[in-house]
Amino acid sequence: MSLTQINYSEEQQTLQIIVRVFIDDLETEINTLSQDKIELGTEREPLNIDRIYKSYLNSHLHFYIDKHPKPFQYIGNEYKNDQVFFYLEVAEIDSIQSLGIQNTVLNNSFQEQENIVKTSIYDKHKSFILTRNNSNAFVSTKK
Amino acid sequence: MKRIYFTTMLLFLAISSALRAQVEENKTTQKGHTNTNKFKQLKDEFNTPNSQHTASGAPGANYTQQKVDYRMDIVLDDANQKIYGEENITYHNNSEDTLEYLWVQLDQNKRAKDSKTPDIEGDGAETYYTPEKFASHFIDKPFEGGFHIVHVNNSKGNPLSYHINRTMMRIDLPKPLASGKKFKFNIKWWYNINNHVPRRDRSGYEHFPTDGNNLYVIAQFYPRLAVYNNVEGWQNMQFWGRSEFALEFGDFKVNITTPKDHILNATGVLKNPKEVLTKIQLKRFKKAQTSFEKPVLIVTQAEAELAETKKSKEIKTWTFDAKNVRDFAFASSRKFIWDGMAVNIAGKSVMAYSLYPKEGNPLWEEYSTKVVAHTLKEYSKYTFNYPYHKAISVHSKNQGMEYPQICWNYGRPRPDGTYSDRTRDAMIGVITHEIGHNFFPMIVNSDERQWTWMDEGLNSFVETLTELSFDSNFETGNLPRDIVAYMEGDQSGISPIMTQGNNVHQFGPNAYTKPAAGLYMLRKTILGGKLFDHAFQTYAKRWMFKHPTPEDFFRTMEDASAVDLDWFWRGWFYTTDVTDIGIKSVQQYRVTDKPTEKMMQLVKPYGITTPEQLRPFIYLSTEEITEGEPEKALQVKLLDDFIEANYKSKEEAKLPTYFYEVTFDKPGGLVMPILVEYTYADGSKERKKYPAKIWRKNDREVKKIITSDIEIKNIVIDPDLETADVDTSNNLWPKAKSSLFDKKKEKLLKE
Repeated sequence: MSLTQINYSEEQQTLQIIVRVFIDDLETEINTLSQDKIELGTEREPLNIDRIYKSYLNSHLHFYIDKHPKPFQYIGNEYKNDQVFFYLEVAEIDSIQSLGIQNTVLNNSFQEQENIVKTSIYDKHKSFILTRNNSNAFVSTKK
Repeated sequence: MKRIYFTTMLLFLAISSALRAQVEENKTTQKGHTNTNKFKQLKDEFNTPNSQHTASGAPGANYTQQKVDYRMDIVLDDANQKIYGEENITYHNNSEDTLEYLWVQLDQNKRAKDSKTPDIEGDGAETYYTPEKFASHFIDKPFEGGFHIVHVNNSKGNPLSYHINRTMMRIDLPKPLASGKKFKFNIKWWYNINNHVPRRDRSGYEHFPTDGNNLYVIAQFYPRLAVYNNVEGWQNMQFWGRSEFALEFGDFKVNITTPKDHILNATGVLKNPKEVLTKIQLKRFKKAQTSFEKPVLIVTQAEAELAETKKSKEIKTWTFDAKNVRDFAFASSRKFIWDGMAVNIAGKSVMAYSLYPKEGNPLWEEYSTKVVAHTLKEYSKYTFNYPYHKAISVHSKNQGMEYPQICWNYGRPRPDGTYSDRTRDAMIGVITHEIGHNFFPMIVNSDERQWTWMDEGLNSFVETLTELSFDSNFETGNLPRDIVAYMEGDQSGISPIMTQGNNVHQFGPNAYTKPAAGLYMLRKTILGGKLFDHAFQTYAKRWMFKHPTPEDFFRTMEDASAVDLDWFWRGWFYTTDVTDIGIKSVQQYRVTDKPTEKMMQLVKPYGITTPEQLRPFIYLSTEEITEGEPEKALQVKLLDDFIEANYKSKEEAKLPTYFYEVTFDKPGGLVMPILVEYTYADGSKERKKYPAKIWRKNDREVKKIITSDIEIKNIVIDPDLETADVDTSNNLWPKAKSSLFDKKKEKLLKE
């Protein structure tokens, strides 16, 4: 299970994204994909971990604003108990008519992976459960 | 007196004329509705109480329960990973009913080649495959699992008619079994033991390639009688792999033959330690029984490592005797190190044991047995004194699985023996949880096949209290704040707790965390420790060695506490509603004797147009202060006169200075107490708890007048995150300026 919370800040004109994943799940996923076996969130974590996370998230999370793909900025991560929180931001969004999300986080390693996506845009709340068979969500956000 | 009457009359007239105006506008006839009040009693949802399961939640005068005794001879063939068994079963029909057949559970058939379990899982092409995964999907022949039933005979050795429906076997009785009678029969069987590691099975073996040995954790390994009870009849719902077991209590006498150099432990009292242990091991075995401070090594790592290399071809037989248990399981390997210590449970000595291979050290020798001991003590406090003589924690890769007196637990250090805090805490957590299962469901024997939460939820709850007493900073993952991410998720992926386990999305949060967090909330926030603990203990004691239903739990908690909790059970267990309580607005008032605009509007239809025409009143006003108006409450003459006439002094009257009207709203469907913290201008804080019943007449919104001597600076709802409030952005007044994201961003960018 993962949880992605997406909020649009009108004031800052940014999409603020927090992604929560269980550390063990992400470790399993990254270790099946890469050659080297690594540990996450322990004292043996590789020093370039941010680069690993950035590239993983870049290939498994995609945002489309008004149907155009928009890259996000990786701000950083924080470990809390058995979970890791990623903070991402899509900048310079002065308005938003629609938001598309593709989320395939952990889908490779877990047959029954459920990625929960919640959006809060112009005070309207929506939530989705994305799975392997359906990893896309679309929100129409006209004011 | 008269004038007061007149004014009240006026108000009444004003209100009733307003109502009349409304009725006239609504020309169509209103539709009625059924009782949808959140505090409605659960008469429709609950089974009707009877003399078996009573209205108080206790077992009734006519409660019955079957008993099944087993005598088994088991052979573990380590060389070929096969297990053979012959069992003599005595079935006691204690029910009032006559039985025409018996149902026997064949759980191993879940792994048979013709098992339907894989057929109910959807799958598709993967993005990529590891070679192992590819082979298991497309190359390897399916594992030859499942029971081979050699015979089913009556006590004279003649075959009985039986029919196998996947994981259930019906045995047709030669003549119906009357109430109070018993039936003896014999089943001979064998099966290929599975490697439990790749598919995370509940039992099987792990192979260690470096030394060529296997570590067996063996369970659901013998044909077991299904439960026949007062509410389900036969509980013969198929075993699909997830929803667990329903079992009767009985007595077991079991002989298990293993290679001579194996170390084995199992449910029950080891009857022949002299025959299966070396002299020195036997001495340590006895020493452990008086060691209350720390574990004693009964089989050392050096002895286990020596056995790993020898691989004896000789055999030996272990004999166990278990009274009043619902199941039997065992673990066996040459690799086992064994330690144990005694635990004092209300004056009775109980043994805490651990079995682990060297791969578990140094983590296991340091923590496992101590955690077992701590768990037995803590659970005994919250339920009843642990009635069995021992509890064993067995190291087994990737597993957390429970059986009477014995359980399998994960937590393996890295190959170099080091381990992360996460590995250690996960291991402490799983041992606490699985040892805790000795209480729920091994003794308070609920029907796991039907209701996962009755054992997993109750157990996770006591586990949480136990972990917090082991280490007050332990991250239990079962607190109300931990369930928010699940509860606020999309409704299509959430089921009520009262749902059969096979059909549930997000099984863990549904059946473990949510009930545990709910009970934690009930104890800490709603009932308080004293009332809750007595009621919870009452439930545990009433249903020790019996089969409780959900209603028995719900009813007992109310019966023993005198608190109506139907609203809580309804919301938390029967719906997927969420908690969301917020502060809609805060309005400050001052005290005055000048009639407010609202008052003047109210009396206008009755010809009153100037304040002088009104009898003097005291008003709470938000209007701007005008000249001549009293600045302070005590300057209101009417009030001052009243105080003087009725109180000894002005100090005694304790007139507050600040008046606020707080409007709480409730976007969430759950009713919950409102927990509020008021912070004053001088930094002091005050907390107030309004019971959930505050929502009984208005489920959306409720107002409260708050008074104080010092100005209120801010108000926060649920400051300690006790109620699983899914949206805390409305919990603050005044509203927070920067979001959580902004704060984190600032912090992360600084680093």
